[in-house]
This record gives sequence, C-alpha cells and structure tokens, in this order.
Amino acid sequence: MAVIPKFVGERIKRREDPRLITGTGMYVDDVRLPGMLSAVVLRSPHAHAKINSIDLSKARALKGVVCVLSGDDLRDKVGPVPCVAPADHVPYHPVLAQGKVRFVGEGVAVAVASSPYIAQDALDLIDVDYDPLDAVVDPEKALEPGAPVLHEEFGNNSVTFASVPNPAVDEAMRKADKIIKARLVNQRLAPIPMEPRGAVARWDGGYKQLTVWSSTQIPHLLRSQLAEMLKVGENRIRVIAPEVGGGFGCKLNVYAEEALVAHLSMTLGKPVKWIERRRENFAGTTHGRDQITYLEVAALKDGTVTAVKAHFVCDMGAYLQLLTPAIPGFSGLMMTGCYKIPALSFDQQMVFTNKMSTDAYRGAGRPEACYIAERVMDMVAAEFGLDPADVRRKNFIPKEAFPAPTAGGLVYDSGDYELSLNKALEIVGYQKVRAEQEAARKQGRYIGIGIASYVEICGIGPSALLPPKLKGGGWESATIRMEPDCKVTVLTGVSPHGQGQETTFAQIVADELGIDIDDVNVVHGDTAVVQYGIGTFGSRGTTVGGPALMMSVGKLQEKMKKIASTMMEVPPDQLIFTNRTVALASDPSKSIPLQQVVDAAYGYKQPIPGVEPGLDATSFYEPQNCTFPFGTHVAVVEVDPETGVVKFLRYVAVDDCGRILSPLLVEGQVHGGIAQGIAQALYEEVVYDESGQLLTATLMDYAVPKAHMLPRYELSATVTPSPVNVLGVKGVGEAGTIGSTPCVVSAVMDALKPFGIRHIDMPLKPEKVWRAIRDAQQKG
Amino acid sequence: MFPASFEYHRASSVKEALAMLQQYGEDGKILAGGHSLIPMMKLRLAQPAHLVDIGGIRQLASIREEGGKVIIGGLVTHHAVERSDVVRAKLGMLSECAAVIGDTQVRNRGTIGGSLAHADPAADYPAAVLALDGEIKIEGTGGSRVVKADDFFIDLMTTAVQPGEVLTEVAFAPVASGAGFTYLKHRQPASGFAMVGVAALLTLDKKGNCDRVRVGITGLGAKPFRAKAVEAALLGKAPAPAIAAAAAHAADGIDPLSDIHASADFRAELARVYTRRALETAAARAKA
Amino acid sequence: MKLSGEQVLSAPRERVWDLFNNPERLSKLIPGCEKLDVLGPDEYGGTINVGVASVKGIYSGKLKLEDKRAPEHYKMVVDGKGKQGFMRGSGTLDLEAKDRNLTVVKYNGDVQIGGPLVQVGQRVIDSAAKMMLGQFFAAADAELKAEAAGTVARQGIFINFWRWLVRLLSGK
Repeated sequence: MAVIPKFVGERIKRREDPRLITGTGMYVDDVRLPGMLSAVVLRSPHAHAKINSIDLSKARALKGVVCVLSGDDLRDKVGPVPCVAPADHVPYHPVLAQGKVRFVGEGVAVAVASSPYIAQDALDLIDVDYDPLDAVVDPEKALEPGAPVLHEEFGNNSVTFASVPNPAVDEAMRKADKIIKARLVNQRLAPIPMEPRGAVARWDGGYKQLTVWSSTQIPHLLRSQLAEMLKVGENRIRVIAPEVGGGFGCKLNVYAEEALVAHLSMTLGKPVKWIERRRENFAGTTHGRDQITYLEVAALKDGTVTAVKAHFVCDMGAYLQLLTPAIPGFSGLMMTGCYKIPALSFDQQMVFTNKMSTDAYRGAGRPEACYIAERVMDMVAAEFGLDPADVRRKNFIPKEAFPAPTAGGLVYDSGDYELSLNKALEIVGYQKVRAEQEAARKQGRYIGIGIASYVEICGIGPSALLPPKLKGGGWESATIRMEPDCKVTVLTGVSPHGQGQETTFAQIVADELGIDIDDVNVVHGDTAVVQYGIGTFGSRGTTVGGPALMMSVGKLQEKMKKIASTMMEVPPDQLIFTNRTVALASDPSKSIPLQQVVDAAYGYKQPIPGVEPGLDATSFYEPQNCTFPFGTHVAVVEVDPETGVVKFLRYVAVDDCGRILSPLLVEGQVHGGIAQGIAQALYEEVVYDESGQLLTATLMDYAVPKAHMLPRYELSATVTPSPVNVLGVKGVGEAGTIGSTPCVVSAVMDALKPFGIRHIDMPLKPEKVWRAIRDAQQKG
Repeated sequence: MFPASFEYHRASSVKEALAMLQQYGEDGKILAGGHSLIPMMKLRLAQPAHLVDIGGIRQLASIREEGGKVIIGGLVTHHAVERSDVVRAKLGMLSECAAVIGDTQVRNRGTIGGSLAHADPAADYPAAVLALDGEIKIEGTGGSRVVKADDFFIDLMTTAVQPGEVLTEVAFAPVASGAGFTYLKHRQPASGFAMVGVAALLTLDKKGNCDRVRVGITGLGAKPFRAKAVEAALLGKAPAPAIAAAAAHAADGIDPLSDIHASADFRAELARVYTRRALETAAARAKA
Repeated sequence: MKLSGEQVLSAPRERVWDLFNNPERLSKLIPGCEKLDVLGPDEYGGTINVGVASVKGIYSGKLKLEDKRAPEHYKMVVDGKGKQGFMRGSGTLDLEAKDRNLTVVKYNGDVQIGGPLVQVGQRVIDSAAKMMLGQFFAAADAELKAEAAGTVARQGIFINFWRWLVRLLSGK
C-alpha cells in the first residue's frame, strides 16, 4: 500500500478551484427555483431629499408585476437594518427609505415581477416626488454649525465621540526635541468583490421554514439578525452562503435587501431573487476607510518616538451598518505599530454624512493605523535627517519583549520585527539601491525607496473584544465526523469565500488522522448543516477556526484511540494515526487499519465500555488573545517628474504569519493583499461631488488595478509561531493590504525628497504628484 | 443590467442596413462591436427601440489594398488592425495605436468604424486617423461620400456621420518610407481610455529638416484634433532643437476636458509632454 | 457644475432681450425643446428631448426668470428631471451692448446634475453641457440674424412698394 504523504506545509493547489474555473460552482445567482420572482430596487438619485410622495400605481399596473412596495408599506413589518456596535446616536435604518433619503443609492421602492426586465420596467414607472435638501459630504464640514443635519432627532451629525486620554502624552510632548504635526487622510475605498451581493429567499409556508441564500461572510450571524428583523424563530431560518465571490469585509454585514427578499417571499409565497448590479454595489454596499487623522508626534533627535497623540474624524456615512462605528477603534489602538512608543492618546469623532456607510474593508482599521505609524517613522527620519530603516530599528519592540504590552492596551503575542526588516533590506540590496538612487538623482531621475514595517491584529479574538450586542462572540466552532466508510466530513463555523479553508483544513485533518487529503470534505456556509459559527473576517478563518478544528480532531482521535486500544490491547496514549492505520508509536508496523476502528465504532457489535457509538466531535474554541502577524515591505519606485507617474522597479515583501500551513495559499493571500494595498496608495478613491452625487459608480471610473499596474512581487517570509493557538498560526488574509499602502507612499515620498516634498495624501495619482512637484519648484 | 425592450435586426448588406435605418428613423441605432452602446443600454441611458446589427456584413470586416491605398472596413476589430501584416507594414502607427486600446476583450470586439463613429473624446483611434490623414467613407441611401479625418470630428461625440448613414470604411495612403511615428498615451487608470493620446508622424528631407509633420491629439478636448500649431512650428526645421518649443503649442486654443481623473491644466500639460515625447520618438525613428 | 462665459450675438441689446424673454422663440433655440408653456409671469414649463451620442432622454422641468432688469439682466432658475437624472440650478444672464449691432451675453451659472447620468457620465458631462450651450447660442445668433435680415427684407419690400406707389401716383 502506498504511503500517504504529509500535507501541511506542502504547496497544495486550492481544492476549491477546479469547480470555480470550470463554472461548476454555485453562486447565489445560480439558484433557480420553480416560480421564482425577481426583485429590483429603485434607488435614490438624491444624496439628501424629503420624499413628498411616491406614486406606485403605474408600476403596479404593469403586466407581469407581482408587487411594488415603498418604505411606508414596510413600516412595522420588517425591523431596521441592525448596527450592533455601540454609538451615542444609532439612527433608525429602514430597509426602504421612509420620508427621507440620505444618500445616493438608498433603496426607495422595490418591484417584484416574473423577470428582472419587467421589474426594471416597473421601476421606470414609479414617480417619486422629492424635495431636495442640501447635502453634506465632507465629515469636517458636517460637524460645523449650520451644516445640514441627516438625522434631525440627534440635532447634529455626531455619531459618537470617543476619547482615550493619557497624561503621559503631554509630559512626553513637553520633553520632546521636536513635535511633528501632520494631517493624514485614509481615503474612502470601495471593496469591489468580483461577485456583487445577492440574495434569494424561499418561504415554505407548510413547513414554516425560511431559506435564504446570500452572498455573505457570516451565515449564522445573518440568521440571528434576520430572525430579529422578521420576527421568525432562528430554528425556522436556514441561511446558505453558497460560493461567495469575494467579500473583503463588505459582506461581513446584514443588508436591507436580505431582509427584503425574505419578507417578500413570506408575503408572496414564492421564491424571490435579488441580485446586486455593479452600480448598486458601488453606491449601496459598504465602503471602507474614510478617516482623517490629525497627528502630533513627540520625537527625540536620535529618532526615538516618545508619544503619539491623534484626533480622528471618521466618516460613517448616512446610517450605521452592522459594525460601522466599531472599525475606527482598531486604528487608534494599533497606531503605535511595531514600536515601543510608551505614550499614546487619541480621540475619535465619528460623523454622519450623505454617503454610503463605511464598515469593515480588508484590514478594517489596521491599514489606517499602520499607515499612520509608518508615516510617523518616515517623518521623524526626514525631520532629523536619519535613515528611515534606522529610525524603525531604534523604535522597534525588541524580540525579547514578547508577549509585549502596548500603549494601546493590547498584548502582542510574538514577533521579531528587526529580523523581517533586515531580511527585506537584504533581499532588495538596500545599500546598493540607495547608491543607485543617489546616482540617478544626479541624472535628474527620481528613484524612491519605501519601507513599511507593519504589525496587525488577526484571529479576532477573545469574545470580550466584540460588540456586546453581537449575537456571537469571537470564538469559532468545528465538527469533525468520521463517516462509516472512513471518509471525513468537517463542518466549520467559518465561512470561507476565497480564503481556501477547504484546502487548509483538509491538509490538517489528513495529517492528524493519517489519511489522504481526498478523504476529507470540508463543509461550510449552511446553517442547517453546520453548528453555529461566527464566520470569516479579520483573518480568523485558520487562526480561530483552525484551533477549533484541532480540538475536535483531538476528541475524535481520543475516542478512536480508546477503541483501538481495546482491539490492540495497548494503552491509548501509545497509539498514533498513520497511513490509514492506528499504529503503535514505537513500532508503526504494529497497526490495525483505521477502517476496523471505524467499523467497531459504527457497528458497535461489541460494546466498548465508556465509549458511545458513532464517531464525531464538536468543539467551540475561545481564543485567549488575538494574533499579531507582522512583516516588512520594501518598494523601489521611479517618479516621472513631468507627468507624476509612479513606476515600480522592485517590490519585496517579507511577511511573518507564524507557522505556514499552505505556502501557495499564503502567497496568494499576500499577492492579492498587496494589490489592494497598492490600489489605496496609488489608484483607488470613492469620489462624491459636493452635492453627494457618487462619481465613481462604475469600473470605468473607479480604478481597480489591472495586472500591468502592479509590480512583480518578490516574496519571502520569516516564521515566528504564535503562542496563542495550537497551530502556531497568525493569519495572513489582510497582511499584504496593510504593509503595502504605507510602503508605496513611503517610496514615492522618498523619490520626491529632492523637491522638499514630505507628504501628499493618497491616492498618489499622477496629477497630485505633478502638482506637488510644480508647486515645490515654484516655491523653490 | 437589464435593458429596456428593443427589436433586434441583423442586416446582411450595407444597403439593407440603410433601408432599416431609414425605416426606423430616430428609433434605430447601429450595433457594431457594441462596446459603447450596450453598456449604455444596460444602464437604460440609451433605449433605442430598434438595433440594426451590422456585424454580419462580412465585406466591412476586411482590410484590402486598392488604388495605392490601404482600406480598412468599418467592422475590422482593433485586434485585426493590430495584427494585420499590411497595416503593420504600411500604417505602422495605426497598428501601434490599436494595440493599446482598452484591453484584450475590447480589442477583440471593438471595431474601427464603431470607435470613429462614436467619437468618444478619449478614444485612441481618432488621434492616429487624424495624423495619418485618413479618409472616412460614409454611405447613405442617397449614395456615398468621403470625408477627410480633419473634417470628420465635429464636436463631442458628434461626427460627419448623419442619422441614417453608415460609416463603411477608412482609407489611408501608406506612410512614406523613412517616416518616423508613434502613438503615446497616458491611460486613465480605470477605463484604459486615453487621458491624453498623441499620434505623431514626421518625415525628414535630405537636409534632415521636417518636411511633413502630423500630430493628432485625443483625450484633451471635447473632440480629437490635429495640433496644427505644433505642426507649423516644426515644419522645415531640424527636429532636435525645435521639438520642445513646438510641443509647447499642443494645447493651444483647446478647452481641455476636466473630470475626476485629471483637471484641465493637468491634461494640457500631459498633452504638451506627450507631444514632445511622441515627436522625439518619431524623429528618432525617422530616416532622412 | 459651474458654467460661465460670454458670447457675442449679432443684434442690438433690446432685440436680444426680447428674444430671451419670448418663450415661443426661446423654445426653438433650446436643444431638444419642443415647447415652453407659460405657467405664470416669467415662469415656464416644458419638456426637452436631449442627449449626446446614444444617451438620449426626456426631461421635464420648470424655468423661472427672476431679478429682471430690462434690457440687461435676469436670473434664471431651472429645475428639471427625467428617468436618467435631474438638474437643478440657477444662473445669471447679463447683456452688454458692445456696439449698435452687437451684444455681449455674459452667463454665470451653477447647476447640479444628479442621478445615473452623472454617475456614469461624469467625464463628459461638462463637455456635453458646453456643447449644448454652444448650440443654443449658435441658434440664437442665427435667429437674431434671420430676424434682422427679415426686417431688412420687409423694409426692402416696403421701400419698393413706396417707390411703386410714388411712381403710380406721380404717373411716371
């Protein structure tokens, strides 16, 4: 019999991919049910307007139209769109606007018809009489007296003001050689998953059973929230997240349309489908970032940073989605980055504006924090004429300090920041590139070297870190079932949508049980099949879902060892699983086939004392801490001073995500992450005009980078296992996004150093760079 | 993305297409590659009641040489122009230009006739067609006429093609041997359209002075245009010292477009820089 | 969107003023406008069918003239909507007599355009507005010239008629 190899650590291709690339996966839009109706939502063209009246009569009269509803028809029938994060002002957020619209794209009415074409025709027949109001899109202007108020009941546009004071900061400021001040902007971004959102609902009245297929990252949490919105028992709702074509955080949410299709199906008695169009996705799916930070940094001449103080203005948009006001907190807490900055204080003013809500977007608060920390290091280096690498070394938390408490009140699990910096600089050939830069400058060429050392929070986490109103905690669940034929089913509470846990978890289970990877089937995303789970976000799939799976694997192993021990007459603790056998650890040739153990458990013809029949185990794992992946990215760019165009010469990324289970998947995550981070640095920006019109509503205007706009990545890694979990993993879903943004900005600013330019706000579009150079030349 | 209902008609000849256009009048719209029209229909910003698909008129999809000219049918795709041996040999700049339009999918579907007739202010082809002195053939029920590229583009997305007419082909005289040329563009990062695109072509006389200069610019104004001030400033002069000063006239008299991607003054500056660079490349490639 | 500029029209200021205050004649100059209904004093309603390339749409709206100071100034307030978007805004029109037969029209407006039209067409919407404004002024100039020519022609007819009458009466 062939020897079954080990899988963990091997470059295994994603087991999900064959079905995805051959078109045999099933997405929400592939759900086709008999009698299914199509719903299309009419959206507000105004950023802020009073609704005087809505005339639905013509739309309702159209042949093929089943139902047309506006917000008033749903009063008291469908509960509001939930926000579980705490805030002083949580506005009522109806599934369709009632009386007023507050952003372009807000749902105003829904038409249900036998086809989406007819439903769309019906929308064209709806006459809404709006009374346009002044809109406010700039969060700082929204705070000014006299600004248009979005939610009159609050009297102003403040969502919440949160403050984390620290008297030590003022002390450090007094003693500083220099206080560096800056205003940094993390612009608004659109997550743009390849598959927009969508939902199908089917109400089986006879069974009192509601099934909702949704493109979501959180099937169980969605079920809990839908139960509340629809007043239906959770035991009567089944949420299925089929193939989900990317989420990036924007599907870590509960949206109006999910409840809307469920309500429509329940009232019409027929399945109802709603599929988001790309323009709706731009206007009506959560955005990310949109924070302004006013910084004060206390620094000493040797480059030591002694305190950071920040005032944030965070744009929440018009309403609060599931976690909207919770996101900026991470930016504040993580602002000290990899550095032993002793004093930190910050406050955050969160603001309503006439825009789509912001919420989690790949990195969710940490990219902003890392951007701030890394800009600080560069500004300190520029201020005192120090090498930016040296300034980082000077301030790094040393590797002996772990577990390291931070000024933000967190405890970093493990790290060796200098190792990753040194490795990245070695790969890029730092001294040589600096010499080349110097030579190029003499020829009038502007080369820049950017460095970013990042640390972020993953594997969220201890349940106390999550909002009190959230139905679930920070734990995760896993069930493992050895089927009678010796094949294994894994039911995981995480909901991968591109992360590849069907592969990673199969690798783990195959190795632990000594079986082939093909013997393992990983099932997720169906609340009727999988025990309650929290879902996939915050790079938690493997860091929290993985240990949960390990707990269940352990329980299963224990049981199988007990059974095998009675059959082999050796103590259970001397047994191992290898090559589809249960074998004696000291002499694996002494073994019995795994199938015999399984037969004994299922057949149970000879009762085993103290062992129940069957072979499955379920676990819920509550992490004791988060994990803190880190790394250093180095970019070399050249700026064309005549056009402001930034060209990549090199891109080196050294990431440390702890133990690497699946190298190919880790690289894939890093690649995609870097692309998204570079996009923030150079290309992407959601633009609303002054009146609140969304000007980046198509892919013709919102610049998602194409391959030719990205560098060739030179990837490397250091491995610092996390002590937090049994797998030693730290998570890698967001790391690339977090490190790359400040790295690229750092490189561009380094290139522009001869012009005396220290900072330009992102995205560093050619025009901004060109204008900065021109202005600097005119001043000079 | 659900268009309003429309009737689809497939024309098998230009004559049939013209008859259909006449029949449906303002309600009819020609469908070629569909890359501009169909997205607008899906957004319901365009709602033609009748689509006249000319995609099946095979004779419009060929490249031929006739009477000393290279004639490209209106339905020839960007990809076919890019790869055509004849175009590469005799109209190198057009092939160079076709190669940088949009992306692969766009180049496989989009047609030269569609691009010119639509006259998007940021389309690539118009710059090259202007610099190559293309002649555009337009057919109507009353017969056909030929319009010089210079007279073809009238205003924003407005050309010499009148309602009820079809752009059938574009003819070019082969580029003189020894001519230097290039098409340079600054891509709008989202759409790939030209924020500014400059097609430059020049030939040198025996003394090495420019004896023919053509500069077509797209993306800058509401319509593509020939930068005649640049051409005039260079004509009869040796390229090396004169190009920089000539290129400074690239945006003269133009009211530049301004949008979220580039303001008017940045576009004007890009036009000057790209014009200089395009002319420098063209001069370097030209043989006296 | 800010729209400002000036245009020279070939007619005396009073005639330009008359034209710009005559809904029936004005309706013929506005691209795609079929008719302007008088809703009240200096208030008109109407529909226009306009577009660029394949993007065409029907918009209905109101036009109000305020702060009128004949023959040199008024403020125009517009509010219109269609399925593809809406437009709201105001602008001023100032007429300056350049010489006996030429009038400079200075316009200065701020319009807000919203809806799918601007969300999809932001990159060309300014140019489209400028183009339509250009078409309007070109039509206005043509109308004024035709009017002048018509008057001259009528004068010609009158003079000829007079001469004929004089000849007839004088018996020459």
